[in-house]
Amino acid sequence: MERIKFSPPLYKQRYYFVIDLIMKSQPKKVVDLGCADCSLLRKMKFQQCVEELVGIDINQQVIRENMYLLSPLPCDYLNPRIRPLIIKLYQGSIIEKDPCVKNFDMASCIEVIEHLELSMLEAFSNVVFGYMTPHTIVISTPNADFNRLLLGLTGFRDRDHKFEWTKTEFQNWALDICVRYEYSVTFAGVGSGPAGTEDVGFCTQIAIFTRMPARNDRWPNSNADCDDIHSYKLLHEVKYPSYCDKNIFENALINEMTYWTEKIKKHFLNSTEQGDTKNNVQQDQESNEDVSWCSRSMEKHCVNWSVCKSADGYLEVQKHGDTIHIPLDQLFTILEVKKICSSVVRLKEALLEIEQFEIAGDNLVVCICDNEK
Amino acid sequence: MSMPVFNILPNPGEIDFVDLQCTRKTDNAEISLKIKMTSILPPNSNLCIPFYNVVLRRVMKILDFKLIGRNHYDPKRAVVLGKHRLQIWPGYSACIKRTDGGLYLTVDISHKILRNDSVLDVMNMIYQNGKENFQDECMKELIGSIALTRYNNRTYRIDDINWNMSPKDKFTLFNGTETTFVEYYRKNYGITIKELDQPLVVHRPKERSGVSGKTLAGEILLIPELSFMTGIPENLRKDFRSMKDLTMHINVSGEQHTNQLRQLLKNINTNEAAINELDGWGLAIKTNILMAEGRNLPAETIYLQSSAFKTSPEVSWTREIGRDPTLTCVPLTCWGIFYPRRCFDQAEELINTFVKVAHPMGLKLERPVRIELKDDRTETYLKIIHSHLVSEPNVQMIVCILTGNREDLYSAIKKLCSVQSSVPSQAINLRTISQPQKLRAIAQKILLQINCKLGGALWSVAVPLVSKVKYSWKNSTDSTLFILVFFFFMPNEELIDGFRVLLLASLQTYHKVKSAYWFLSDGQLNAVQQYEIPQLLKCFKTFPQYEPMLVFIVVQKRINTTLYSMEGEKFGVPPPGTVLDHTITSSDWVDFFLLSHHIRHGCDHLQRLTYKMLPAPCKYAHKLAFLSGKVLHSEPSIHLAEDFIFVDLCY
Repeated sequence: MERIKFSPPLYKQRYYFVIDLIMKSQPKKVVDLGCADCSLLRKMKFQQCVEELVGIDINQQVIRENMYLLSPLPCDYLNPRIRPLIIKLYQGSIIEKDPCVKNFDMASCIEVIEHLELSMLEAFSNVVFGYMTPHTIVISTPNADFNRLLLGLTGFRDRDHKFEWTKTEFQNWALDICVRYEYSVTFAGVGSGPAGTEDVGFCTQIAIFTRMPARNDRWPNSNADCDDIHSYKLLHEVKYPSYCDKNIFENALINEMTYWTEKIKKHFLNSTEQGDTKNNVQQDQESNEDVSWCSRSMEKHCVNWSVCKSADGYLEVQKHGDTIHIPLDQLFTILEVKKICSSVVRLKEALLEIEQFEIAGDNLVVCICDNEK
Repeated sequence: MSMPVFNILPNPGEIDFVDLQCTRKTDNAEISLKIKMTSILPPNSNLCIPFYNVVLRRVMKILDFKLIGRNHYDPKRAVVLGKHRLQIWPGYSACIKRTDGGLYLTVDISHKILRNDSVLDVMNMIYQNGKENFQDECMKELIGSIALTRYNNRTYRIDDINWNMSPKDKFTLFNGTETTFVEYYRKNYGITIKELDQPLVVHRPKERSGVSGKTLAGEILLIPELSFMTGIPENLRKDFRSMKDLTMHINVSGEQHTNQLRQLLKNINTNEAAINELDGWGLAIKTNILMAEGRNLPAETIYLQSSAFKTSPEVSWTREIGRDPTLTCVPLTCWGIFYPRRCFDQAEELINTFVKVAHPMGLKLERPVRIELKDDRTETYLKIIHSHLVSEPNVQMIVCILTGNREDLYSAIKKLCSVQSSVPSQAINLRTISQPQKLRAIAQKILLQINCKLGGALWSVAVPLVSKVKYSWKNSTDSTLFILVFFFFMPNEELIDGFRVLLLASLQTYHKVKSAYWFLSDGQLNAVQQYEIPQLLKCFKTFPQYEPMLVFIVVQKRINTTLYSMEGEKFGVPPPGTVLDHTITSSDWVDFFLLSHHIRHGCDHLQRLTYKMLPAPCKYAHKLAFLSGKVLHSEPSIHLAEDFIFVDLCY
C-alpha cells in the first residue's frame, strides 16, 4: 500500500473548509477554540464580514509568540475595512465558562477534542453547547477508521491524543449533543483515501452544528450567575482601521473629495474653454494594444467622467458665478466614495460636518476662481 | 544618532549538560537529546548582534510600528496629501551595532511615501490620460517602483509587466499542486479578484540561495489589483511646487530630528511589553543620545592645471572646474553612446552639450558614435554593446543611457565592459539628463568622470608626506610609490574578480597607477580583507621589483549616521572638515567619520573613511587617507552609477 500524501496538506484543507463555511454563512462574531499559533485566525481576519474575532488557548506561550502576526498590515491602513474588526486573544480553558464568547455567530474547534480526557468531554459540551451557544459550531477530529490506511501507524496519530473515534462513535456523540442542547448537525470531512476506500470515509471527520431556532426561548441562558465568572485572561487586543472610525472616515473622505473635485473642476474649465462637447472618455479609438479589459474596468471611472459632459443635454455640473455645483448623488457614483459612505444621505451629513466643504442644497460647491495660494 | 545599550546577561551557572526526552510523531519512537554547552558568548560578541536586532524588530512591532522594507513606520501619524493621493508615514530606521564605544542603537528618521491607489488604479488612470502608447506609458510609470502587497507585509520592485497573463492563469505551488491565481487568493486570503482580465506584474528577485543551498531564481507574479504603489508618482516628480510641498513634510530641522528620536526612546522605555522584551535578553536602552567630541581640520587647497584655489566652507568647486583646464586630459576620439529609441532627444541634447562644455575644460572631444536601441531591455543593450566592442577594438569609452533604476542592467553592462573587454564605461540615468536647466552642469561633471576613467587626472592636493615616505623607501623603481586602493560602498554589488583583472591590466599599461577605486557592497568588507588584499599582494609580485606600499581606503558614502554640532543648546550642522575618530567608530577597522560637504538644508551627508595598512603601519597614513579621501569626495557627487576611476594623486 502506498503512503498517502495529501495535497494540499491536510491541515490546510481543514482551514479552507472553515473559511469556506465563513464565506457561506457570513458570521460577524467568530471564535476559534484552541487557536494555538493563530494560523486559522490569520486566515479568518481576511474575511470582511467578521467584526469580532476571538482566539482561546490554554497555552499562553504559543499565543504570545504569534500574536503580533494578527496586527494590521500597512495596506489595512491604506485600504481600511468598511466594517470594524477587533481581535482578542485569551488564555483560557474551553471547559470553563467566560462571558466573553457568549452567543457568537460561529465557533471553530479544529483538532481539539481528541486532546481532552474523555471525562472532560461532558464539561466541554456543557460549556460550548450549553453556555457559549454559538449559532454555528464546526468541530473536526481524526477518523479512526482511516487509520488503517495510514502506513506505519501504531496507536494514535499523536501522542497527546486521548482518544480517536471511529465514524460511528463521533456521529453518535454528535447526535446526542443535538438532542440535549437542541442543535442540528451535518457531517463532512476532508482528506480522501485512494480510490476504492470510500467506505472508510475522510481522514479528518467534521461535524457542523447549527442551533435550532426554537432554542432561544426554551433554554434559559442563566446570565445572572455566570456573568461574574471571568476565567479567561486577555492577552492581546487589536483594533483594525475601518471607516467606522471617525478620524479614518473623515480623512479618507477629505482625501477623495479633494482629489475628485480638483479633477472635475479642471475638466470643467478645460471643456468650457474649448467650447465643445469633447470629454475625456474617448470612445473606443483604434489602438494597437488589446486593452478591452481596461475599457471595461474604466466603466467605474467612466461613470465619474460623465458628470462633466456638457451641452449634450445633461449638464450635471452647473456653474453659478464663481463656483460650480456638483450634485452629491453624482459624487456618490464614485466607487471610492461609495465605499466610505454608505449612502448619499451619509455623504451629505459628513460633508456638512467638515469645514472645508461647502454644501448648497444637494450639491457640493466648488470654487473655480484661480486664486490658489 | 547613537544611544548606548547596556547588556547584562545572567550567569549561565554551572550547567554543563542538559538531558531531554521526546517522542517522534511519525512512529512514537523515543528520542533522547543531550545538549552540551561549548562556550559562552560575551554580550559584546559580534555573533550576538543579529539576535539583538531581531529583538529590536520585535520591540518596534510591540510599539505598533509597521515594518516596510527594512524600516519601521507609524501609520497612525500618517500625513495625508489628498490632492496627490499620497500618504507620508513617518518612521525610523534602527539597528544595533557594536562600535569602539560599546553597544549602540543607531536610529535615523525615515519617511515612507505610500499611495492610496493600487497598481490597477494607476493603470486605469494612465489609460484615462490617453489610450495611445498605453503599454509603454504603464511600463514607464510602473517599472522600478516598489509595490506593497495587500495580503502580507512584503514589498516588491516591479521589474516588468506580463501583458499575456491574467489572474485566470494557473501556477504551481511548492507542493506541486496547480491552482489559478483567483482560486489561490480566494482560498488563502478570502480575497475575490474583481478584474479577471488584468495583466500581471512581474518581480524578478536577485539570485540567492534557497534553504537547501540551491540558487533560487525565477519570477514572482503579482496581481495589480492587490498591490499598492509606494513612492512618488512620475507626474508628481516633475511638478516643482508639489515636490516642494512634499519635501516640507519630510525634511526636518536638527531640533525636530532629535526630538523625534528622543520620542522614540521615550516610547520604548515607557512601554512595559517593550521593556520586558529587551530585558529578556538583558538589554536596556539609555534615554539620551550620544555626545562625543570631534575636531576640525583646516581647509585644503586644490590645484588645477593653471590655477589653484583654496576650498571654502561652501565646498562646491563646479564653477572653478568648469572654467579651467583640468590637470591632465586624455583626448576622447573613439567612443559610443547607446540609448533606447525614446531617449533620442535627450541623447542628442547631451552630446551637443558635451561638445559645448568640453573646450573650456581643456578636454579634447570628438562627437561620439550614436547607437540607437530599439527598446530598453537588458538583452538589447548587451547584444548591441557587445557587437560594437567586437567591431570597434579601439573604442575608448562606452556611454549608456538608462531609463530608471535598473540595477541588473547596470551590473550587466559593467560586467560586459569591464570584465570581458576592459573598456571603461559610463552609465547615465535618463532622469539626470532630462532637465534642460541643469544639463550643462551635469554634462561637465560627466565629462570630468569620463576623463578620469580614461586616465586623466582632475586635480591634485599638496601631499607633503609623500616626499617623506619617498626618502625612506629604497626599493622603489620609480618615483611613484603608492597604490591607494579605494573601495566605495554601494548598495549594488560589483565584481571583485573583475577588479583583479583590471588592476593587472592597468599595472601593465600604467606603471604610474597610484590609486584605483572599486565599489563594494557593505558585506564585502571582510571578504576584501581576507581575500582581496592577499590576492593583490600576489598580483604585485608578478611585476619585478615593484613593491608599492598598499593602503586600502574604504569609503562609505551612504551611512545612517548623522552628526550635529551643539553650541550650548542649539543644534547646527558641523562645518566641512569635521572629523570624529573615536567612540562611534568601528573597533575592527581603523576609521573615522568625515564631513566634507557643505549642506544647505535638510539632512547631512557624512562620509566615512576606513583604512587598513599593509604591510606595516605608518603613522602618516591617517593624514594621507584623510587627504586623499577628501580629494575624492570633493569630486562632485551626482546620482549616477559610478565606475572605477584612476586618479593621479602625487606630484
